[in-house]
Amino acid sequence: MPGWPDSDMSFAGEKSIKAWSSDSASAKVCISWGTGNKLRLSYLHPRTQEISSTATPSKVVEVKVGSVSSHESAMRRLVYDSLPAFALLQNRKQQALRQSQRGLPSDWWETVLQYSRSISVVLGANKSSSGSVLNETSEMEKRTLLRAIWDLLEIVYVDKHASSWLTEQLTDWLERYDQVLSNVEPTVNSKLSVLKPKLINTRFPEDDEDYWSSLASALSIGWLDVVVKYLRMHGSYQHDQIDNRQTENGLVEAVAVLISKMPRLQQSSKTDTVGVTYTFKPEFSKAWERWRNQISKLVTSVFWLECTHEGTANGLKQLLSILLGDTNILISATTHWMELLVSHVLFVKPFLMGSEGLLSLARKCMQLKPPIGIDQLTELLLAIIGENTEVVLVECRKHFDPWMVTHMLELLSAKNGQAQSFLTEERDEFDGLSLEEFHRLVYAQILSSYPCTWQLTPFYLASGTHQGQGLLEAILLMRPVSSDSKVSAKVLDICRMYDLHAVAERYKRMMGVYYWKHGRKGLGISWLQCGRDYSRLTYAANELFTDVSQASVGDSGRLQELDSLIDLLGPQFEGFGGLAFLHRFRDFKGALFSFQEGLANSISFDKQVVAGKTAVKHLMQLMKDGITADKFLLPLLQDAVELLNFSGEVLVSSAETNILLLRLQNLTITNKHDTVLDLSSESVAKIRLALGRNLGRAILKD
Amino acid sequence: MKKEMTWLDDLVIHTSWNQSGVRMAAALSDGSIQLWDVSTDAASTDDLIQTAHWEAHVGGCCPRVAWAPPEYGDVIASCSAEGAISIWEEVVLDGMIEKTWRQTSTLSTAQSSVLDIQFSNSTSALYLLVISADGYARIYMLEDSLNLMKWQLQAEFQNSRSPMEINGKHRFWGASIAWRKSTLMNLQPAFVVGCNSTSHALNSAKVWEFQQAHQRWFCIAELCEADESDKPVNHVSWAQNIGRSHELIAVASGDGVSIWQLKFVTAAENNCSAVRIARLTGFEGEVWQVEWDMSGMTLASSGTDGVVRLWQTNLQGEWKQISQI
Repeated sequence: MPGWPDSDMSFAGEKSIKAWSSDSASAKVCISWGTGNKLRLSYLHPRTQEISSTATPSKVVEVKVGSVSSHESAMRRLVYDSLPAFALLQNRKQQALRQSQRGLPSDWWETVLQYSRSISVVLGANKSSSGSVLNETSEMEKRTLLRAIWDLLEIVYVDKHASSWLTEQLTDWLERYDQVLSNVEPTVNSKLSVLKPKLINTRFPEDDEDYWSSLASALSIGWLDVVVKYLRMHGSYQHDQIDNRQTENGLVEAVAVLISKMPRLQQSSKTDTVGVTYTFKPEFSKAWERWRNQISKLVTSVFWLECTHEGTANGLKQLLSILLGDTNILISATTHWMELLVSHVLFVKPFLMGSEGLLSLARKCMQLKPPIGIDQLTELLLAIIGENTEVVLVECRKHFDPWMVTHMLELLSAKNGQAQSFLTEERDEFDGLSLEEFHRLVYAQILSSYPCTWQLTPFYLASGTHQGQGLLEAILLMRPVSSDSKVSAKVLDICRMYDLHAVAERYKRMMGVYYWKHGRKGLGISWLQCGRDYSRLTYAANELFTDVSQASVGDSGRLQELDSLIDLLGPQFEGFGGLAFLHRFRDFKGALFSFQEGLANSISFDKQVVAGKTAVKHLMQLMKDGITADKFLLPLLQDAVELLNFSGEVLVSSAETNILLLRLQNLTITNKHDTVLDLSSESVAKIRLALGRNLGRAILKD
Repeated sequence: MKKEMTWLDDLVIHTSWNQSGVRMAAALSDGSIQLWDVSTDAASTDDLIQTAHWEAHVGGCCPRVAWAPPEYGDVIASCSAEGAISIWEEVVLDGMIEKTWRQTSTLSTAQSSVLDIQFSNSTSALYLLVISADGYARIYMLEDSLNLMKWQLQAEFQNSRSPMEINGKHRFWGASIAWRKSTLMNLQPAFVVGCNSTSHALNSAKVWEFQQAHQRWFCIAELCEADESDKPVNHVSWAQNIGRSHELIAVASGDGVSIWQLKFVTAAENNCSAVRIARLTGFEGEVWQVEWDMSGMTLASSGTDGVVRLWQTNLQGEWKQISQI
């Protein structure tokens, strides 16, 4: 394979015992799956002494497995354009199922028909999202082929009325898609496209054998308008010829008229078709007999003897044989078995109704005209014609991408109850998944690989009772958390719409942690709160407290910032000592800070006393039972030393000092063996000393 | 569809992608770590951009890196050839604008090289499982979910059902770990371990589960059939469960891959049943790595032949190779 030329060299002689993980010196591939079907391969060729660094360089390659199309913008367009029709259909299906317990109503196929036609139109639109026409022929052909199969599925599987007008449906279908039937052998369409430019430059096309054979081919598959038009380009119509070739011209015209009078059983008269339309079968069969008689009469007429142009006589007779349904002529006139099939239903079995018999006729045609080489579509076309749902599914999986498979399953189950149960029954081999849900999972997984389509996955997954929801959750949780808030907002939107509360909570936690770690603590706290992540909020509060205690001697801006962060924790927060503690603590720190500032700037004595008393007031608030956790007591008391030692005035009353002494006593007794709290004798003694001295001063003052 | 994302330094010996597949860490043989981010800029021609590069293990080799789940931030664990494990996290420090990677803690395991290292992705707690060349698996648990500094060694054991199986000292060339992955919350953490050593008993892949009642890890299943009992296990992969009634585990043993179906039954004493549902063969040489995609529908494998193969079930439920890259 490319990019791996020296693999044999690197591993030659190494036996099974060496594991890749420990073998750092050999070349290897590291596999990793990303979201959806993205496969990341790291081809590593580490530098070793034996292999010089000029060997194959290491690289990372991304492979999109089972990708919808190589033409990404066209694929995106198809994905987006087909979604409304699919979503509407699912909506209606759910409504119908809600209304009736016995499954879908009998006229359900009509709803599917609407859906099918919308998708067919989408497939016909060949503009890519950028507005440029799909210029790659291969891409165009692929799309046309997709539409051809889609439309054939519609005729056979969806449209209940189609069986009454099968001949016309098939003729129409072939007219639209003859060019994609085969890419190895020429089709009628390609024959005619060769003839067309020739006709413009030729005066007497009847001398050319190709002219007649192309006409026969076109006629055999019912392209009457083309045949009539080309017949009238016959040389005998020219002004200078008409006198000499009157009989010949008469015969040509007679055949042209007969062709244009061909009776056709159609649902409604179409203006652009050649032939006489009948909507009622008995009338049609009478007209057919009459018309056939006219042809027979013409075949046996004496005018042929007067026709001197051999080519014309033979050519016209061949056309008449086709009209009379001569199988041998039909075989030689057509190029593909599907064309032969259409020619049979047109001229040999014009009264064929429904799809019964169509399959055996198709098999017969295939035997008569076996496909050249390996015709990949033969199996699929036969399966569709025979309504063999299982084979249709297998073949579609083989030839088309998951978009097609997911969307066409709706067609298969439109009116065919058997197909419906085949597709929706829960299967043990898929762990209870139905084929329908399984293919939706496959498609949704592909959608999730692209940044512009992942948000469409809920339309395909939300209805899935088994693994659909699980996959949707996995897709949402794999969305990267970053400062790009659009993606996050979309994820949370989807969670809200589909009631995925647990996922939303988890995602909010991920966002909370992301912001907390990336310098936006406020946002972090908010998201952690939305995600109700109390254990992380407790840690966050702890960390904020540490910051507050460190910031007490620093700038007031920082204190302000922490202040608002603590505010954010809000009343819902039920962590350790509760929000009350943090708020009082902040107040105390603020007051202590202004007291310290006063000391440093030598402001008036009265103001210093006021600031000091405020700080003491807040300190005493903190000393109330159940407010302050033990681990915060000691730092608080250490802070209090400064207030106790204020020389000008006694700031802490004797009662207050007693409370402080009591708390200190309790702390030292209950946490004697605690290693976390720094109860070293020095700091405690310092506090004790300050408290004792203050108590004396306070009593004196009292 | 295949496209090259970037060229790598020829010192890179291991790469690992984060859960959302937008960041890649590369371990280098000079002991440093490179960080690559998928470009989100449409105008950029590069698909991967190197955003950080730092010396993780000075003077040594860094054979492995692993990402923690995103609930813990952008966190990776790296290891040195001597067995030291470092935990790194991406942060923006106070007063700074730029992101930096900082080391939060170092765990010293046995003085032997690390064979595999993986974070769990259970929602209840964060575990780091390390398996070293001394044959011991060690599980570290994070004490505080927002603080990556404090780790506690929770368990230390060898990959065997009973200590009786281990006779004498064995040599280990490789080992592989895979944690249970699920979209469901509150599942018991579990993982699978397989080894490549001189002891068959230690090699075979075994599933371990934490049992709350006993507060310890138990081996609940052994994934080995007779035809692979003498084959070393090179890699294991546990498929994410998106709602299946069973778990799927792929074991790359010797020249083939076994796919196991695991059913948890909570009531019974032996509360897990394991069935091998497929043995994938046809590889030229050893299979080195197996990886499940996000839904467990496709399995990718790579081996000595350098070919990456993709496997899926067909409509009859049989595992088949669908393509190779």
